[in-house]
Amino acid sequence: MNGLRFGVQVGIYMLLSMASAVAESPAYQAQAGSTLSFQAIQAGARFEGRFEGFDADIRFSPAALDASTFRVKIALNSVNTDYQDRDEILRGPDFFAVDRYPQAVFQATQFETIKNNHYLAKGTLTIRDKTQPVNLQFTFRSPSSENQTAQLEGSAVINRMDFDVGTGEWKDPKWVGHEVKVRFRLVLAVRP
Amino acid sequence: MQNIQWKNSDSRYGVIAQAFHWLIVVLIIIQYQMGKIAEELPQGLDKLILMSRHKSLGITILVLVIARLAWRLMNKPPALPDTVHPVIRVSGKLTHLVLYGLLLALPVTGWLASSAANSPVSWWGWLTLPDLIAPSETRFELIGELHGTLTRILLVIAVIHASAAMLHHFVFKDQVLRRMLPGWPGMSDR
Repeated sequence: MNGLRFGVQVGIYMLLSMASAVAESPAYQAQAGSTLSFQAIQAGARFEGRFEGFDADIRFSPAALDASTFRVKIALNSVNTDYQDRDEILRGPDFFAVDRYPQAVFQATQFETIKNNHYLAKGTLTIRDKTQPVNLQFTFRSPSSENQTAQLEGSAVINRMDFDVGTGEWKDPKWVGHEVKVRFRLVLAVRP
Repeated sequence: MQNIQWKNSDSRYGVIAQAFHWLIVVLIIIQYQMGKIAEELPQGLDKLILMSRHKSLGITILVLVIARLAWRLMNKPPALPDTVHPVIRVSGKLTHLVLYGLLLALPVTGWLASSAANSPVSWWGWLTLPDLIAPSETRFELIGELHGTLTRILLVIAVIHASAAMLHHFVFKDQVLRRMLPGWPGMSDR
């Protein structure tokens, strides 16, 4: 009799914990090996740069999109395009103006499934004092027994003029393209 | 109406060799000025624009020099007059060899520097050239220095080359300069 009651209790407990696992999205933090890069066109030729300092606070579960959130903070000072002169211009007042606006922030609370393992995050990106809607397309791989980290990978295309990045003489798209492709690959560990 | 001498003869450079020579002379003068002005400009759009034109013109010169060398291989240059002293003969050959070497090395080091600075070369906005090496700030500094040094060497050698042509014309009074100048009807040295 006791055995049966115990069994029922365990069963209820298991059901409850499963239910809570479905409703919750695990919280992750970006680990070493994560990259945030961008591609732009300068004087007719494409080049790639990256941000070396960023902090990604990710809650995501394909089974609980409603409970998922992204919050990524990017230290604009950490821009690196392998060419010091260009990095200085990017940090300067015409581009990121890092003295006044040290951080860019991407936030999303709305998620959609595009197709199997492909998702869309509808969020906002803030650079300088401009906040604009930006959609990210990404794939997600949950942690498994072989690999304890999750992987989130995707891209977005933004127009730098929406954020006043590259004002003054730099506005002309002939010399510095307006379109910037942002790519990210996050290695995510479950937050302790 | 005289026949146009396209190819080199035994005594004169043809129109094609002459055109290559003088076109490259003019482009290099423009190229040198552009590079010098661009280098001295402060960071900004003007520098980016001038530098990108300097790169495009540099690649144009590289293509012309390769075409010129190919033409030279297919079409033997006229021999020097017998009156030219063997020492002058050898130093002339050497000067020309160094000149051709520099004409190839300058655009190539420029291209390498662009790759090292992660600023790929776009040829007049029509064609993006592949990067020759991976981005590296230290390599960029090094190759940039080399590019500048080669430029200064080219300046010196070009002055020697032009002075030698003057020497041939005014002192030795031979046809060595005149055979690289466009001909006109009734020229005596045909």
